Amino acid sequence: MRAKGLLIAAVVVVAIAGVAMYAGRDTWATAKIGTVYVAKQTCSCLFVAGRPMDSCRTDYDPAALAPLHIEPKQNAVEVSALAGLVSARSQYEPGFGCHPVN
Amino acid sequence: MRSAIWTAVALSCCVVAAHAELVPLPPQPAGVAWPTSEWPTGALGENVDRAALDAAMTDAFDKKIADLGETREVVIIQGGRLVHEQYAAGYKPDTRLVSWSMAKSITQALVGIAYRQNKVDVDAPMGNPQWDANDKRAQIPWRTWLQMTDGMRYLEIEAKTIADSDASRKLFGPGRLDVAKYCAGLPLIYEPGTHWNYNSCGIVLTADALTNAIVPDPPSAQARRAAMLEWMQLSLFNVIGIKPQPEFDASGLYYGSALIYASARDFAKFGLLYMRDGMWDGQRVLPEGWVDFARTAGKSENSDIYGAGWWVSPPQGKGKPYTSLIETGPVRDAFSAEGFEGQFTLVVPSKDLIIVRLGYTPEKELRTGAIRVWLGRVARAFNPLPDAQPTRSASPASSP
Repeated sequence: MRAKGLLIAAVVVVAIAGVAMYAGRDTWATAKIGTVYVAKQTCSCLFVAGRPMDSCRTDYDPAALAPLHIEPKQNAVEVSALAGLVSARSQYEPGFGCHPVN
Repeated sequence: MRSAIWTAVALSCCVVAAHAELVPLPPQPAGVAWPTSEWPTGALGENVDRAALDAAMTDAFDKKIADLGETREVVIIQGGRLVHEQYAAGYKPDTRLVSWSMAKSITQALVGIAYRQNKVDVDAPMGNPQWDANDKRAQIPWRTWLQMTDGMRYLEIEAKTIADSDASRKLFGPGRLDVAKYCAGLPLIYEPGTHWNYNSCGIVLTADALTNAIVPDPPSAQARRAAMLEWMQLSLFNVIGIKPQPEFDASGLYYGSALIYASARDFAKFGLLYMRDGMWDGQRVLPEGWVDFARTAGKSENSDIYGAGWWVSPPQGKGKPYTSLIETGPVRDAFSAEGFEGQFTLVVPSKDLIIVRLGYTPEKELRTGAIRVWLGRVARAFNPLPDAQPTRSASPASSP
């Protein structure tokens, strides 16, 4: 009887996890694309366009930017989201602009 | 006899109609210097409704129009002279901003130049290293890719989410380290040459094939991009005096469909190259007929708004499959390089007028069409120059 209860509980947990993963897959993909997008475009804004960081922030919807942590580096920009679970780095190479590196 | 007369009348109408499709491209006015080093300037003439122009500029830069977003740089050229420019606070004449898809028009120019140099044959299959010779995609000619009638399954304008958009996925998702490889993996869903679908990946693949033609066996990604950049500079950028920054992915490919940074003044020079039928200061840069190819809608039945790398005015209505019309005046002759978030280089041959607008118009606002209405207002503030004398007749679009 106890084994049957454990089995049902396990099935329920797996089902919930499955539903959560299914429901969250777009969120995950969007977070990944979003971090790469902001890393790349902020890198180009800073190093190609030569604009200051405050100006670069105006290129995005403030609500979309809120969950992201943007960290300018020397010739690069790193962006992370979801408490660091998702991150991206874009590198500036003089003469060739910026591009994602991970 | 009567029927012969009617036949003659009908034939002459057809001839007139055929030539009426393309308004002649005006030559550089006598005495106006080419802007290779810097733009010659000119005052606004009596042909300009200054009150209408001022009102349009105030509305844009003071953000008085809902759905226009932020206008950052505007440059207006008429008769080969810079007659108006305006910048938002923090932006200067040399501030380079992102082209987004205006880069597609630059790629169209680069292909034309390579064609002129006998490095590519635009009527031959373009191919890709990812496809074998029997692959149907490998049979599609360059010209068809530039017209976006390739038939590839590519989702951008109709995408419901960022995660669904091939535009996002190729640049910032799974394709971000090798954009062409991502694009080469998309299948065909229409017979090539029959159906128009906005396809940034087709232009990425065009940029890839062009790079392979210019730099056939690079020893590294770094060597590939360096050689390609040098060719771009020697063949186009230096010739017309612009200093854009094309960006390259990790494979050494310039993105082709997007991500060229340039000032509004430089985009205007690029527009002038097209206004002058591919000529620059006595030198032919683009093949004869290449601009007409760019500004002539492809033959697909579902679209009348896209030429080759450039958007065109629909002959009637507001455009299909998307509303695209910019009402620049009585003649529907405008064609434009257009990019995400409201980047425009608008070329109006009947007025010898070029309008560049760079800024940030969020996607939701862009879809309302407010920016097209605003561009139309600006264009209609300008009448043709009083002494404009176009001399070149339109040539068939199919024979560059």
